[in-house]
Amino acid sequence: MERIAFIYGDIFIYWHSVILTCGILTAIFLFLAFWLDRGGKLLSGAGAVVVSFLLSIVLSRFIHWYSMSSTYASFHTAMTDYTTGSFALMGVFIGCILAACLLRLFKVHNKLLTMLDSMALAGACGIAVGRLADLFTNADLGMEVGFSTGLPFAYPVVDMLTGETTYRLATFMIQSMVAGVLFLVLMVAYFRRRQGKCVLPEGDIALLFILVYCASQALLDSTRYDSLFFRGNGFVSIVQVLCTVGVVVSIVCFSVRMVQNRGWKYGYLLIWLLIAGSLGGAGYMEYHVQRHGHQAVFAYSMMTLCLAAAVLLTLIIHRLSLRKLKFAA
Amino acid sequence: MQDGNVAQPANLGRKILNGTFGAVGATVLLLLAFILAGVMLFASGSAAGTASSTGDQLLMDSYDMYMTNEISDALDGVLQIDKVYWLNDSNVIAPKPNPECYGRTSDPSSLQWLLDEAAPLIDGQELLFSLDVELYPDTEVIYYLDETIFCISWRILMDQDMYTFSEVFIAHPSQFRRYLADDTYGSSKRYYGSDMAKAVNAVSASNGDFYQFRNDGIVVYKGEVHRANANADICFVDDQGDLIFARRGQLKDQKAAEAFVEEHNVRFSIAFGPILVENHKAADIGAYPLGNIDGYYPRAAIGTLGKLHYLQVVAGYTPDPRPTPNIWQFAKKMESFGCEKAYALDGGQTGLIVVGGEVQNYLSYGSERVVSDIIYFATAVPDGG
Repeated sequence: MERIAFIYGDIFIYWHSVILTCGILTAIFLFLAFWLDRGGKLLSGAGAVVVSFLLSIVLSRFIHWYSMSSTYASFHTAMTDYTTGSFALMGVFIGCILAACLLRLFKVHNKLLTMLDSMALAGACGIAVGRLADLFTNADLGMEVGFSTGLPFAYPVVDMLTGETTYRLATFMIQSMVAGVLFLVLMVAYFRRRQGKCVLPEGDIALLFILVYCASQALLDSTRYDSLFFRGNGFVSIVQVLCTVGVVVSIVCFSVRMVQNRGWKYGYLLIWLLIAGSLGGAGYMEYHVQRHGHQAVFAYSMMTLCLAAAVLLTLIIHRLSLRKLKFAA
Repeated sequence: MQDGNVAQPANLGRKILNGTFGAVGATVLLLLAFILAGVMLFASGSAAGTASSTGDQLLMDSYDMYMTNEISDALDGVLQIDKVYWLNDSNVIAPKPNPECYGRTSDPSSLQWLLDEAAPLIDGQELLFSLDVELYPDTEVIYYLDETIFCISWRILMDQDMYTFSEVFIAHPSQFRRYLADDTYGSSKRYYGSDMAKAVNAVSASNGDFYQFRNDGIVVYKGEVHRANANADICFVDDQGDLIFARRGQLKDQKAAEAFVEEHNVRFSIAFGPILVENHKAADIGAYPLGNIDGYYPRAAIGTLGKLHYLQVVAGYTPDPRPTPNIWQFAKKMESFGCEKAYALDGGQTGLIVVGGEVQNYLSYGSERVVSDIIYFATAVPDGG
């Protein structure tokens, strides 16, 4: 149930909309601040904001239409009428990356990696704020939780048909916390780089954000009862697949740099195998929890361990890839 | 140097121009961004699926039922007028079953009294359930009986598989219902079948077609055609509670489906299949795209044994897994149960029967999976009746 924040005559403004807008504005301001701080131009920054906004809306609507086409009268209606229907957050990520690339392609700026870093930092904080919006709706449909009736683990969700209250895993709250912690950690890295205390190439902040956020999101999406699935196969979640792609991209980028900077070593094979094993273990646990829903606690614990291991191993690769740069500096 | 002195004013001018242009451009773009963000402020959330009435029609419907039954009470002892209860599809939640009408026993032979009491509903029809049935070890017969519904559920071992039955007699066709998650076609939400059965006060429920999982078939809900793909056999349920089948490819598009729905007063459809039994005979099943028909998986089906007389069946694993029937074997079984019509539902881990809020069959992998829909039978006696 939507909770009303303000009423002006016939106009109702909901808390959900207020907090979501705050999240968007937070992201915009932080992006511009970081962008300008790193030597970007205000015009290109503002352009990136507008293009990202527009692309994000279109792409997030497209992803939602792809998965839930039956909820729209037609593709045309889905892509032209934005007053109804829903959106997929993953589309925002793709929209922002695409916007940065397009502006670079058209030579509006020449700092693609810096822009992506700024977007990543801003996005982390924007998500941390924006996700709190759904604490004021019934949209947070995580699995039912028996061990807690309070935040941060459980949130009361009222069934619109029966009026019954069930306590469900507060996935959006947890997502907000993860994004918030990630923002703080990346901010520390950003300022240390700014002060010359560490060597962190441009683009690394974006890759680290993608790595950690996507790993956490792959887990959290599994706990939801309203995930978006691929057409014709209701087992495979679109978010989980895109998150896996994001994690793999980070691993590949760091690995390539590691080999370039340190030369080939057979020991790397062990790390990659361990990462592959961890990701495979997480994938198996996803299958396991779909089949054995009553073992959700075990499955999600194992999935968390596997994903954490994959992230840690990737961070080791990242660290190794920096060593040569540090010595060179 | 002269060149440098001449260049300075031009560079300065360019800087001013760029700076002004940049500032104006940035301001305009940022303003646009804030306007777009501001639009979000007035974007209201969509109301979740709440029960909606058709207003006057629902009111008159309830009034008719109320008056009929009040007259019956008033003339009690003078004139015998049977009370009639029915449900309206606009009422998402059915009346709550009376807990005192439920019962269970491990001795089926002791249930003659139950069959005698249910005689008005059974109306002389032959039951699949028999008093001398040999139950699956450590299982019970579970039943529910009130004025409008008689449901009896039991499990047996047949061909090394556990067959779970729920045989249902209803007084009015409206008691055979379908529920989509959140009462909304296309909702992204999924719930456990047992949770949905409890939410709608089902006396006996089974999984449906899991329509959300795939784009096949024709989906009709509350008389409205929502999807019209002709690539599955369809089971339509009309306002008389009869099953009407349409074969794959028969209704080629939305228009054909809508015309069919209107012609036959269809209330809802199930889109999985194939058709198992027609006119008391096992159907001739060829290649079929859904349900791994030649594999050995748990199977589920809905069938009719007579007028307002239904059979929900799950042929599944025992705790000691054995091969379960392929679709042809299952069709033969449904024929042997005496079904005049039978239609396959989504099987595998999706297949389940819920009576009184309890899952009756042994589940694949030992656990339910979240699904998008159920079909169920409900009492029509108002709450507290």
